[in-house]
Amino acid sequence: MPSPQQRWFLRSITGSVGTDIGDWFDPSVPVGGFSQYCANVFPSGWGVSAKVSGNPATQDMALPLARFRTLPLQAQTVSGTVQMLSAVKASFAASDGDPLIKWAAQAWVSIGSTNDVRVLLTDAYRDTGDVWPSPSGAVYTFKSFAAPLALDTTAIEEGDCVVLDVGYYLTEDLAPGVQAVGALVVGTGSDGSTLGVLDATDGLSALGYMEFSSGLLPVSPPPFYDYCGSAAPASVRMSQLPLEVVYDYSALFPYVKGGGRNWLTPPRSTE
Amino acid sequence: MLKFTESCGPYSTADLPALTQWDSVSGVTVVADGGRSGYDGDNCFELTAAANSAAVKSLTVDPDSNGIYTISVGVAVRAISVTATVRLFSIATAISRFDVVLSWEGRLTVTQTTGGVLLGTICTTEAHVAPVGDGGCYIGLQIRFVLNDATAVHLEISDQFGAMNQVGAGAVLAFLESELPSASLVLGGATGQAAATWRMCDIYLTDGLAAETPVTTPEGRLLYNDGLLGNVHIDALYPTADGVNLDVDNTPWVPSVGSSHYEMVNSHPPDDATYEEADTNQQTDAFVYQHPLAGPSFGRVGCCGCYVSVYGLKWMARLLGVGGDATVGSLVRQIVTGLWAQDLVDTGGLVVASDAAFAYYPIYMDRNPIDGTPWSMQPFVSQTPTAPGSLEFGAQQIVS
Repeated sequence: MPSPQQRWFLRSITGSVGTDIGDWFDPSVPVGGFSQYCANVFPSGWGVSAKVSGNPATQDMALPLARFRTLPLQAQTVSGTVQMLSAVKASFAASDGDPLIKWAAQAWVSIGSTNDVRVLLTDAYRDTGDVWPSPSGAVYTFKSFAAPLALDTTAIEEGDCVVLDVGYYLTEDLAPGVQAVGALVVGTGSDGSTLGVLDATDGLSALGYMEFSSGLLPVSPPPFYDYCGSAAPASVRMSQLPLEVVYDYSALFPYVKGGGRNWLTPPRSTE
Repeated sequence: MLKFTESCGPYSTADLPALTQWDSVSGVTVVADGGRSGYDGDNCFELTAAANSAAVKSLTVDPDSNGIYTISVGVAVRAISVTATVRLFSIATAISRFDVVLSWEGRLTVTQTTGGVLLGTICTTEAHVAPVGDGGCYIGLQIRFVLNDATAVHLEISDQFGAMNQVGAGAVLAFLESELPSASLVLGGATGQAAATWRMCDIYLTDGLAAETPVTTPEGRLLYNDGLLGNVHIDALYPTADGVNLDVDNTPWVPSVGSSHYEMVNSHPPDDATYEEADTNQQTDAFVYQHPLAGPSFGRVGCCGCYVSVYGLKWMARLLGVGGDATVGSLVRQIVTGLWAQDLVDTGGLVVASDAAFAYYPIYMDRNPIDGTPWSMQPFVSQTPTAPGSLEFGAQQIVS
C-alpha cells in the first residue's frame, strides 16, 4: 500500500463549485452562456454535483466539482505524477443518450493555504478514458484518470499546499435546452449508506484518494491518524489480547521443580 | 527499558513468524506446553542445526543518560543434543554480531564478528557450565558498547538453585558509533552446523534507557530495566471475563459471535475467525485477566509468589484493520469504583494495525502507565475483580 505521504484520502470537499473553482479552466474555451450550479449531494458534504445546460455549451467546456488540498507542506521539490480515485456519475445525459462527460482536472501549488496560485503543476487536463456512467440513475462508479497526470518538477515553499481541482468536461456540444450533470462523491454519506451500497455492489473501496508517486512531506506532521490519509477504516478487529508478564523465577517455587524439571540445571554432582 | 519479550505462549508454529512479533522465522517449531513450568499454554521454541533454524527480530534501542548503548538479552535454554558446537543466539548491530556459542561439553563462548569478519573470542567459560542433554539453564548476555573496557561484555548463567552467576566477561573488540541504534536479536541463525537440537523460551531484550522507578528483586536488587533482569519467567495471561460495567457509559467492541467479549480474544493459539470489532472512535473494550494462582491449568505461581514484582508487561493485541490501516490504543484500567468515569484509565500506547493480515502489535509497559509504579502480581490475584486496585486491560479504537 502506498505510504501516507503518497496516498491522501479525500475526506472532505473544500470550497464550493462556482465560487472556489481555482484556475484550472482552459482559458481558450469559452465559458459564457451556460448555467451552472452546485449542490451537496449528501448532507455530510462528501459529494458535489454541477450541471451545465446548452445555451450553448460547447465541446471541451469544463466544470469544476471539487478542490482537494494537501496539508501545508515542507519546502521540497514536487515531481512525479498524481492519480486519483473517486466515485462519479452523470445524472443526466444528452438527449441523444450518447456518452457525454469525462474527467477534467488540474494540479497546482497554492500560496500557503490560500486559493492564490503560486505555480501550476499541470496544464488543464482532459481525460481520454471512460465516460462517466450515464444515463440518469446510474450508480456511482469509482474512476481514476486514464493515466496519472505528470507534474512539472517544481520547488515549493514551506507552508504551500498542492491542490488538485477535479471536475468534468463535455465531449460534445450541447444543443439548447439539453442538460448534463456530473456528480462526484469521495466517501460515505453521513448515514454511511450510499457508498455502502456501492461497496456491496462493486466491491470497491469506500474512500477516494489522490495519490502522488513521490510522497509529499507535511509541515510538522501531527499524529499520522490526523493527516496521513490513513483515513479511518471501516473497522478494526481484534482476535487475541494476551499480556506477557516478566517476573522472577523464584515466584514459581515449588511448581517449577515438578512440571518444569527438564529445564532445571542439574546439580553440580551430576557433571 | 524492555524492548522485546517472547513467552512463546500465544501462538503455534503455524502462526510464525507471528507477524510483527518476529521479522522472519524459519526452521523453528513451537512446542506446546514445552516451556519451563511444564503447564498448559507454557510453550517454547525448538531449533535444530539440521533445519538451519533462525528467528530474527530487528528493533531500535536507546542509549542511557550518558549516551552509551547497552543491550541485554536473557533466554532460557535447554540443549537437548549438541554434537560439536551450536550458535544459540546473537545480538547484531548494523555492522557487528555477537554470538553465544555452546559446545557439546557445555562450554559457552562469546565471539564478535564485524563486517562479516570474525574478530575473535571475547570470553569463554569452563566446560560443563551449561547443561547439555539433561536439564536447562538461563543465560544472560549484556553488551555495553564502549571500547577499552574489560567488562563491557558480561555473560551469566543460572545454577541449580536458579540464581544467576557471572561466568564470562571481556571487551568489545571493535565498535563504531554508527552501528546503533538499529539492532537485532537472532535465535540460531547459523548454517551448516553439526547436529544439534535445543529449546528456548522466556526471552527478553532491554536497552540502556532506565525505567522511571525501580523494582526490587527477591535478592534486594533494584531493577530499572536498563540491564540484565536475572532469571525471569515470561508468561502469557489471557482474559477470563469481560470488564466491569463494560457497557455502562461505554460502547464496547462488538463480538463476531455471541455476546461474550472476552471469549473472542482469549484463545491461544489465536482464532482469527472470531473477534471483537470496532468502527467508532473511543469504542473501548476491557477484560479481566486470569490470575496466576488459578490452577491447575495455569498453576505457575505458588502462593508465596502472589506479591512478587512484575518487571515489565507487554500488551500484544492481535489486530486487523478493515478497509484501511487502523489506530488502536492500549488500555489499562485501574478499578476505583468500577464505573468508567471514576476509574483510572490510560490509553497512552498507540499502534497502527495494518489491513493486510492479522498481526501482533506490542506495547511494552515497564511500569504502570497510570501512576508510574511497578507492576506486581497482586492485582491479578485479587479474588474480586471489582475490588479497588484490580487491573483490567483492553483496547480502544482511535479515529481522528
